[in-house]
Amino acid sequence: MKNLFKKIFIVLVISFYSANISYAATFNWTYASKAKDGSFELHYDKKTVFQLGDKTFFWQMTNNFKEINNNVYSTIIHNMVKCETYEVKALVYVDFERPMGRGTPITEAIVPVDYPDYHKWIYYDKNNTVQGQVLSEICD
Amino acid sequence: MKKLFLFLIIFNLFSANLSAATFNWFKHNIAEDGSMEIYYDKKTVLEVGSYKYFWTLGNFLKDVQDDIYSSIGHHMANCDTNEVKMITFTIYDAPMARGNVLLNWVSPEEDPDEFIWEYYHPKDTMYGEMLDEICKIK
Repeated sequence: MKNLFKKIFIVLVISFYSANISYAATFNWTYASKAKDGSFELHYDKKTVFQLGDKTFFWQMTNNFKEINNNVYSTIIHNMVKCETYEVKALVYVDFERPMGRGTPITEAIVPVDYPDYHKWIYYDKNNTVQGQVLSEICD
Repeated sequence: MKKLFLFLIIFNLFSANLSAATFNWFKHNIAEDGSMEIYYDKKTVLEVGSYKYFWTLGNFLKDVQDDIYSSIGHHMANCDTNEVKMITFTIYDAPMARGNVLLNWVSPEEDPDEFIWEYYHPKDTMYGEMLDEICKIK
């Protein structure tokens, strides 16, 4: 029994440290919500949520299921949030030709520079919008 | 041994939760003149499309001006060319991004003309050395 615990202990120590190393550069998506018509779903990565002053930053990922345009099956976005008002601004987005942010990137944009018209604070109701549900998990 | 085993399981679960929203700064280096030191957070280094994105922290140790003791930035790197664009920076009135936020700045929004690729030599500059290290993270 003592030997068994010893072995489990060693395996746990090794897995803990190796997990930390591989953790360094991979997203770990948490499912947040899906559109009522099933057209898309949103995920976010908990470990990328950082609050700096009155702004919160995080990475999120959208999977598209219906009305696929320009072969964009998923998009990874870096968002900036004002949690006090439930408003979001996208800073970076990258479109992919496969779900879950896989495959070849199709479009890579720094939103304020490449699409300044879209770089504005947008309010999302936390009860009635899919994005609002993500904000609810991020902010509340 | 049993107690240690239980502690390790609890610690693993607990630390996984803690990592959700706290930076874990890794000190890269200090400037030769001791004026500043730079850190980055390994677990924020993420490859998205053609670029790597990461959070970095600088502590200002000498000649502190306007009460600026530290700053945090979100940067994007082109690892093929050793170039960086600094997307955001947040300035604090205490070291290690503690104290009050003095400024929250989104570079491409506030000053798009200055939001340009900047080259850092991987051997001759402290930031370039850090960038080289970050780009090697798989």
